[in-house]
Amino acid sequence: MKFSNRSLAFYLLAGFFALFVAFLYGPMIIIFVLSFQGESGGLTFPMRGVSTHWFADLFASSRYGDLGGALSRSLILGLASLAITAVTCLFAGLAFRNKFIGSSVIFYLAITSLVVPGILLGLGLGQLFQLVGLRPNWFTSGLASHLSWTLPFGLLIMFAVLNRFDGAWEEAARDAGAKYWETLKFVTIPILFPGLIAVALFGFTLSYDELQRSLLTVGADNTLPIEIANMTQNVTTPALYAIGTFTSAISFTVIGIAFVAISIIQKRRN
Amino acid sequence: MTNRSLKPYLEALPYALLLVLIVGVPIATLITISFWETDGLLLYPAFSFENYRELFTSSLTLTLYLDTIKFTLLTLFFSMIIGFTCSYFLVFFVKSLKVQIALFLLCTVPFWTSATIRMISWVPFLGKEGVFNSAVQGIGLTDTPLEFLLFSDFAVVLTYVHLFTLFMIVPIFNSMSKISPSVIEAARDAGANDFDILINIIIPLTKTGIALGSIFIVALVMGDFFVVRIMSGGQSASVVSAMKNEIDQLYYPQAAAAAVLLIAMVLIFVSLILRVVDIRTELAR
Amino acid sequence: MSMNGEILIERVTKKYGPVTAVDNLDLKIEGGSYCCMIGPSGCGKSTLLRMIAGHETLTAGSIKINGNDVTNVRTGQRGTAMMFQSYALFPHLTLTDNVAFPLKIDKVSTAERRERGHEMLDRVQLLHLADRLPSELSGGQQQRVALARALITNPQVLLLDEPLSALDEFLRLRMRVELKRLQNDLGITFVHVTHTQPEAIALADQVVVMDHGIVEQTGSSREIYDEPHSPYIARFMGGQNIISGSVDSEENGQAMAVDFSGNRFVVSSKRDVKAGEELNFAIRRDRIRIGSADGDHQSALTGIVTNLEYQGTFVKVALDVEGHEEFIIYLPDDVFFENPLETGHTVSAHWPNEMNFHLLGKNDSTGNPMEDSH
Repeated sequence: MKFSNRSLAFYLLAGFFALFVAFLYGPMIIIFVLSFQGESGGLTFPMRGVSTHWFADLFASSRYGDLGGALSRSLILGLASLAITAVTCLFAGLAFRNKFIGSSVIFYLAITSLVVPGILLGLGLGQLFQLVGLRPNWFTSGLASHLSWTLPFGLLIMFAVLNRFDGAWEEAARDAGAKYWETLKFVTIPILFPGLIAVALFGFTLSYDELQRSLLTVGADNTLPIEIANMTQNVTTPALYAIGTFTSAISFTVIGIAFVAISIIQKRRN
Repeated sequence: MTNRSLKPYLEALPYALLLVLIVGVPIATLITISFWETDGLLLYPAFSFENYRELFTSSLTLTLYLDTIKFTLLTLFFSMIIGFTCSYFLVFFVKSLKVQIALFLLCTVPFWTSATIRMISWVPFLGKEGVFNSAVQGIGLTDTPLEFLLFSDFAVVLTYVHLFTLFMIVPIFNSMSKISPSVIEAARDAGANDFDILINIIIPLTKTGIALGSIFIVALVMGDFFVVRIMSGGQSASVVSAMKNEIDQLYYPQAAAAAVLLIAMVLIFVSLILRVVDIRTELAR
Repeated sequence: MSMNGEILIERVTKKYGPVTAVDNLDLKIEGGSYCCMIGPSGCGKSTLLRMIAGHETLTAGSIKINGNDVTNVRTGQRGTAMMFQSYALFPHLTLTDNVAFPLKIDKVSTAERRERGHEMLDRVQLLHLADRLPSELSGGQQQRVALARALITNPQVLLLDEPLSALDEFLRLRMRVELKRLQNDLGITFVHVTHTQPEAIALADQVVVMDHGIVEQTGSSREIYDEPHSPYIARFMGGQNIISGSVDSEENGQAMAVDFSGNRFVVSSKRDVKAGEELNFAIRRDRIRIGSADGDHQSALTGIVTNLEYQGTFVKVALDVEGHEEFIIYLPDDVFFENPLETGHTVSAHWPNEMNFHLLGKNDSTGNPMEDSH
């Protein structure tokens, strides 16, 4: 049931929606444009020529710290979060279809992890490491803090994904003689694959852009979002926009790959 | 055959174990440390309520909480209006399902990009020589640039709404698209006009989505220190930004006590909302 | 011992926490027979089927197939195959791969899987769609694929969980015939769970009527329909009126029963009855005629016509008889239209005494056939 199209209400709402989209993307587009500012250009319009000077500057100059290292650390953390989130959330999601003792404890722990202010959880993790005599490090306590953000999202998405999964498929596989791992390999995972890509997308991008939980857990070596956050406070050239454009391009590429992969699979099945 | 009943436990084990280690234990650590003492360099295990006494007797605490709650309520208000209106348009006015999904995804894509970048992208727009001021001065509405736009509470709330509204759109859109078309047809049959339907059918059936979105926004705004620090230009503070100062000065026990109080506040807010909506069944629908 | 799929169910109990779904149940299903399990929602029929398949564990008891105890044998190793109510076709696999899936698990080579998959699809007349995905098929076609997948391992027992419930009326009747023919050709045991009485009666060599986790009666379709064990069976299978009363006197195995409004009936019984005991008996609705009784060996009742339904070959006449549940008569259409009735008429109904069938069992539940929920 749709309301009458082309009515006054339609145009008003469509206008509102268009404004919202402009609100959502407009500022981003402005910094994408400004990141191609000419060499003598500043942080605002007008554009003084068009160049890729500020992109080159990012990695050539030592003014911005170890951006290359931060980028590679962020990519590694993203991939590690992706893998751990996808695997553990798949199994946890499958488990949650049954009632089992402790399931609501796990569920509410996940919700807690989602709503607890990120930097505080980071504080707790960092202090925990100190207490047990470990040095916070981007790949240990850092990864843990990222997982505290990706795991709850992953589980919630698995719930939605499994909602459309018919348990009779697994029974049919068992009926055909398949054991647990065979059922998983030949039936459950292939059927759930588009949903698992979505979980993986969350796992990667949420980790890749994570700031608050990382601040007190990465130790000496920063991740890219922390470098960028530092830059917002002390860089006053369009290089700031260039790094923004650069990291957004990586995010959009990952999102694009995920969407294309999902739609190819869906198309093949219909 | 007993492995059948053991199965869910084994399947949930890695997830549960990870969650306990990276969420449960750290929160327990915070609670423990909040009772400890420090001389600014080292931590001394103790069981002292001093940190909490300081926290509750400081007038700053109340001010910070009031400021943070103000930001939270403003953000909730605007994101609800925007989230509801956009979802309402998408679900009930966009005829083609493909277009509907495409527009919905358009609203959600920024979620997967950097919040920091989205935040600073307001700087060249709102600044003294920014796009907005140039435009306003260009058409002669004002001679001097509007200064309240950037580095102000206005900029903080604007950024929150910009960053977090999609947390409202997704659950509201989800609730709305589950409203059966026949329910609306039945209401129309009973003589209801579009406005009656909106008030009597759509808003009540969207409540769970609004509640779910509110949980995210409460948690995100109350937990923020970065937006408030940058976008207010250092003029405003939130509970967490004040705490961050203590952390920077290595006053960990004091910070931990403040953290425990804030976590408790957030969890209370969230559980109040959870009383209205059972998210587990909502998600399973 | 039969080697074509005899199933022996001994003292099987299934509990879900405090709820007993199947209660100390014994049942023998002949090898090579078509068995239909029927009963209202929650009677335990689906649970029993799933226990035979191995999808549910037993709380107590044992299940033997061809004399082998399979109670602890893994699903898929029992010589059974199941066809699911939702068909459970794998959405990511072509029809060939769906049908040949059990062979893949059996590590059969790709070439052979393809060949045998095609053979099986040919048998269900779907070879021309071999490379399609399930989502491109109609409900009836999907069902045939599910059947093919179940049969490709040459099972000795085929378990069918409400196989026809998702089909429309027309397809259901056609598939019913096909299922019966298939079972005849293969000579294996079919166990078919349904909640539709005509389906069970039409298909089964052996009907198993369940209620509250126990087998209330088992026998041929004709036995179940014609000689119901209890008021529950008579009501559930339909076609019967039930009269309740108590025994007034007894001679030569024949009981004089008195119903609650004073009508006297002669009921013959297979067991001894004592004066004073309660007694239920059934009369088939199509054996009753309207008019005053002629001759001695007749039972009779008087009632007011409350409803008339024309059913084509017969007319369903509902009478309101004092002290009875609704009393229904099926009059052949020609008989009815000789002397048409109208609602509100007071009429007499009569039938031969031999038609009074003593219901030995006590189960008096209404047994409304409901949609089965899982």
